[in-house]
Amino acid sequence: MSGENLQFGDWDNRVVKPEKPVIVEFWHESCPTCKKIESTVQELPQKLGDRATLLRFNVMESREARRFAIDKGVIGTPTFKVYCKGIEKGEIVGLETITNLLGTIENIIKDCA
Amino acid sequence: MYDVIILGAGPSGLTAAMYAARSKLRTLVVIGPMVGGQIALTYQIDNYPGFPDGLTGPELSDRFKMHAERFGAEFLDAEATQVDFTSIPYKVWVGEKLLEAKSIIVATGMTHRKLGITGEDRLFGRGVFVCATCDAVLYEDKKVVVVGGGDSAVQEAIDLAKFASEVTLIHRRDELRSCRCLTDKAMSEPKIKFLYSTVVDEIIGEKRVQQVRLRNLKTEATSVIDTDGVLLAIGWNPNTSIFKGYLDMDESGNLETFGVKTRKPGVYVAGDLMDMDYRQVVTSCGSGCAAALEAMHWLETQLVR
Repeated sequence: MSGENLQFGDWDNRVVKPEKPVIVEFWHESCPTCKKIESTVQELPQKLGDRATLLRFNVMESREARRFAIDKGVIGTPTFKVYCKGIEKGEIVGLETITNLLGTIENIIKDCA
Repeated sequence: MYDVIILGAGPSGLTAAMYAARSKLRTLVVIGPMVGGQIALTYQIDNYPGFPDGLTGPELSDRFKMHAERFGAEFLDAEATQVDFTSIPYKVWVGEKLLEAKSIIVATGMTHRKLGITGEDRLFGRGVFVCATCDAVLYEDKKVVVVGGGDSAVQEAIDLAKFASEVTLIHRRDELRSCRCLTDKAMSEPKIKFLYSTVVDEIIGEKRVQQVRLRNLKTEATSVIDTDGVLLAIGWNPNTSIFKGYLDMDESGNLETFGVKTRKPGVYVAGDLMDMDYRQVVTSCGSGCAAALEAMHWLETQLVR
């Protein structure tokens, strides 16, 4: 089961408020690299277990969503941003293997406490 | 054992698959990096016949694939890692997995060429990009530099201008190489600026692209301009390294072809790899069709013997 979809209106509730680190994948449907990494993304929640939550943000859902992503500093898809209580701690851009993606995320969330 | 293995799933590979499968050949497509190939990275395609309103590259790719699947072509979502075309059956490896076929259609196409300058690799995905389809929307109200002067570069500049506040096309020659239709369209777009006889020497930025260092080839004068993104559209390198030793090629990896034929019986080439002149979606489909027809005829002669 891959990450749940995130609407920009839910940002505070689902990204800023939780104690647990949150990884947001910024993606869209006509991005071939996003399609390519989909199977990796599907594995991610299980691999992360209780340590972090994965949410997926479709940057093409509306103009507001697009503006929101741009304001968050997203300039390429897919971008995985790691947030601790809403504060961005790091990002991974583009195609990655599950091992690299997970390794980088784990390194970043270590500093979350 | 397959009748034909098609390497690559761009317009030529997918058309070959549709023709081969429709003729009841047992057909496998080894997809490679992505379905659609280069067109999967193209935002808008306005010159494919039968689609007067145009459509996106990924949508056309999906349609090609569905068409081949309708006639029973099989697909493997992986990249060929090694081949052996010494004798029939021809062998293709995908990692550890060995696949065999009586004939092969090479449709592996080309990959974006890079500039080979400082900052390019480090800032890739952080403002340096090759795929307008993927990322154009994220440059809304931002400045973007497009490097190149052919059809792709000019089309990408036009696509980007829908979102960006300013697009600067940087071309090393003193005029564009793109078709008149695209050049006129770009020239009439007020957001697009043109810098001719100019090259990019360096991409500058700490975590994101912030500037590019430019050099005018006529005056040797250098300058630095601010930009949020650099889209590379400077051409392509052939994806042929795994065929070394089995198919004749020049130093750059361009295959020696005779139409869609090679010196190897039963091995055919389709798409950009056999077409130095046109490289359009529709011509790629054409050569894919031709390669499949040649493979069919060849397989028939093998049967007679």
